[in-house]
Amino acid sequence: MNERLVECSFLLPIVRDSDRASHPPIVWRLLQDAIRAAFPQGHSGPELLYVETVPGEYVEDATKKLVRDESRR
Amino acid sequence: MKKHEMPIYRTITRRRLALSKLTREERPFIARVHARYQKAPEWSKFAAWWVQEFAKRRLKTGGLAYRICQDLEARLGIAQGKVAPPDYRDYLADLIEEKYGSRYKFCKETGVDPGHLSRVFASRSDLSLDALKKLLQALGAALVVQEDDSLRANASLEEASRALAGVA
Repeated sequence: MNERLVECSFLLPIVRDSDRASHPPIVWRLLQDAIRAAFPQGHSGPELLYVETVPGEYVEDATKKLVRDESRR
Repeated sequence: MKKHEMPIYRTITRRRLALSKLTREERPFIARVHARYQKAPEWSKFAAWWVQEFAKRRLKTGGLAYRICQDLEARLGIAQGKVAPPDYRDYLADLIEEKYGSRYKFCKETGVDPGHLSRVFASRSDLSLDALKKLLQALGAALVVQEDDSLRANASLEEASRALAGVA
């Protein structure tokens, strides 16, 4: 039987929005733990990508306000 | 050191991990990971590689080998400027893991709000100095101020390599 596989990938900035500082190790550790728990059958990556910045926007949790910024796609 | 004595591996937060507790399956894996790590691979390539190797060997997430690999990955990231040196969150998370086994148990026994602790660890919130002191008290730890240089030395690539040299 052919099993249909769906690929899911996502991008993460390696610096924080607020001050452009790198994340501390605990953040990457917790992400890795969460990915392994969510996808016990396995995953690939991470892969470091350098791409042009593009304008984007998101709703900030704390204020519920729309924030516009530049992201790496 | 005695001839066959297994050394202690110290994480970037100075947590002591007894390498003698590595399982028979974990030991050759760690030796292979160490060999790759010594070539100072690019941070994310190393991260992708060890996770695949780990999965292939069906090792246990949360075991000693898993924790050592995460630490090696962090050291490479710090050395390559992609990851910040550990901050108080890293120390806190390791202390909780060491003394309580899980964040759930720690929060249950100390009355700490698990949601707030999660936000703190995800860098979406901070602890006040008073709140941090209370947590540290429960963990039998204290706040100290250290120079950047000594923190960086704790996260050096060489320190981990020396500790893992005897694992085979």
